[in-house]
Amino acid sequence: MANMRTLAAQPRNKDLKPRAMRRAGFIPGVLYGFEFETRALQFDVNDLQQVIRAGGITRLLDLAIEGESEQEIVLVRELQRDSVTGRLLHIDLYRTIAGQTITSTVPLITVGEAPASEEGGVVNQLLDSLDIECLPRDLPDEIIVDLSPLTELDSVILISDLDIPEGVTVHHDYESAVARVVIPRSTIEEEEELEAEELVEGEELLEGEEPAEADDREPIEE
Amino acid sequence: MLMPKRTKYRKQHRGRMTGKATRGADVSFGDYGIKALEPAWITSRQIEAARRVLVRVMRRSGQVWIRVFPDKPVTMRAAETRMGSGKGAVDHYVAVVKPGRIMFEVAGVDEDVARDAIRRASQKLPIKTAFVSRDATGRGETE
Repeated sequence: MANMRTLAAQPRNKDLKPRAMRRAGFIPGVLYGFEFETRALQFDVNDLQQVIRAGGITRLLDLAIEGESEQEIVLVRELQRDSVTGRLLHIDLYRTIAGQTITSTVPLITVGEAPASEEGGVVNQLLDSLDIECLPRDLPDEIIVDLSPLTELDSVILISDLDIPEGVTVHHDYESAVARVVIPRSTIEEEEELEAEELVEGEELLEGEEPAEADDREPIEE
Repeated sequence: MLMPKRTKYRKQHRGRMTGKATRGADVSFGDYGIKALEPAWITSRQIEAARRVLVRVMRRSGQVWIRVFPDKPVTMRAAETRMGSGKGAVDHYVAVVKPGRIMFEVAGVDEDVARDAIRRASQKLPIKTAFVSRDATGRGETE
């Protein structure tokens, strides 16, 4: 929260439909909060992208609405993207109140090397973010997961092992695993099994080719 | 090969594949995924071929998730039959895939290995695809 970024917004131009607004270089958005009248806004697409790339989706932002002197402290609640291109479509902002707790998702960032990976283990990260509840001023940018305690094969880092900042409540079971070292099977064993599996599956494939068999599988209920 | 254990109705209409995927469009389980960029019917054989390539290239060290299931029956008429006499017999099953759909996910391997595996698996699929990685920070998927 030390270096809060400012996000510039404008009141939504009601003459433009969202599609036309995006064509004009703006992203429609909405600001809402507890006992606060919901406001429709629009954001310059380049500004918004810069803020998001700087990690703004998980941090508090200073929202400066054009033509208004007061700034709101907000949190990104939802970001809609085009499922094919990844282009921004819409943003939901939540207005925070200084003394009221908020729920948010904080990314888990892994640092360091697991000594067990030198012994042939593979580190599987099982959780990549945490759902937390805290006061806006206590909201961490990220939570660091140090992989160096993973010294043995099959060793695990739990949520209780993480360095959770004070004032932050985690909405997960503290015994949930964050990262685990798994043991890959030996290469020779793999190849033998792979060959054996292919033989078995090849046979199935031939049987499955008969359309009559596929028909027989279906219960006739027409 | 993947196919439904039982179906309520034996045969289906073909339907339309308009629009983009809204569900199953994020990498949810693994670290990297294959995203469809075109709409298509993906047959259970194509899914199986792509899965095998993923497993083979990753040398079984990682984990693979198949995010599509072929639940749509496709019928074919028998060879050299005249038109009429009703709809053909069920021949195979397909998954209806729309652009944006994450079809496979992988985890437990380095990015280089995952990229290679996904590139090779994509060659078994009849559509253009993209390599995507998980987006925990919301900064946007890569590529």
